[in-house]
Amino acid sequence: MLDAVDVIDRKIIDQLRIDGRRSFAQIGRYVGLSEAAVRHRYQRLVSLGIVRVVGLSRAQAVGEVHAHLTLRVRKTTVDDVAKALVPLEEVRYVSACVGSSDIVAEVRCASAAELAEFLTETIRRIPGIDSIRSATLIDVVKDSYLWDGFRQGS
Amino acid sequence: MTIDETDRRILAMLARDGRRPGTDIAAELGVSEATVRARIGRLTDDGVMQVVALCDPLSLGHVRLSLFIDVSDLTPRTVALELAKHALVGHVTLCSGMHDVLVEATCRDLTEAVSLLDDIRRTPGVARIEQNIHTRLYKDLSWDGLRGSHGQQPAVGRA
Repeated sequence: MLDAVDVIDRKIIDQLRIDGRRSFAQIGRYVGLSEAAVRHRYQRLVSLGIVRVVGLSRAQAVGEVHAHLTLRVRKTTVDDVAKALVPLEEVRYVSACVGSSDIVAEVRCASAAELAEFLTETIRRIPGIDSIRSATLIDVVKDSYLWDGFRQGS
Repeated sequence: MTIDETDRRILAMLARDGRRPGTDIAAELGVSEATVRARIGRLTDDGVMQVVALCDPLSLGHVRLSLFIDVSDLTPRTVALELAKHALVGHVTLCSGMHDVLVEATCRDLTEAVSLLDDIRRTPGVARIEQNIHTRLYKDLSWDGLRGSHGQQPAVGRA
């Protein structure tokens, strides 16, 4: 995977992290390539599934409820539980972990009532969840998709 | 700011493809391209939405951490603002529930992660850190998913 992404690809991705709608011509001027060449590289990265450009709305701003869940798994594999979470509409993000929890997930619901239904009914139907802890996000202090390591990366 | 139906439709379209051309969005909504551009500008400036490139940090060889932090002595917001200054920290959120602050960070490798954790430990007001190191991404915030991960698209015949 690392071989599929060169330094120029990283610069293009980096530009799209700052502003996902920045024009290919603008990015081209920054990385020293033609608009067509940037477009071609972008399309390649998309087709390889390395990058996706998306509009992310802030839950509070659109009147939704956003919660983070940490799960402990018992009597089955983490993979089984993670895969059972993926198709659920309310679940936006699922990642397996090592550390304090086995799975970290993000949930978005239209209202507190829907979140309650999700936490007390929907998710309880998945076998193998030993414990669920939830944290409702009340205010976003930083929300950046840039990170230093990416720029310094090989 | 208040969000109307046109805004919501633009948000829904950009959630699927953040680079969908303005002309395309305008045609579907039956408004001018200038209107679409102004709406996207307003939604972005007012912090309702951001259009960004998503990658799977793990597939790029990086280490991703989710840290739940308990705060003592200071207010959670004071501590959150301090943690937000760290370059490796991408997301800082105030929470209600078991923990006070959620921090999400991406590091180049485990060595860098260890040094980030030390920086956080030394931050005044940080009482306890619950650490989670991500090992595999199953679902991401994009519509059709990154390589090896599912997106937000409703599941049809998924494994």
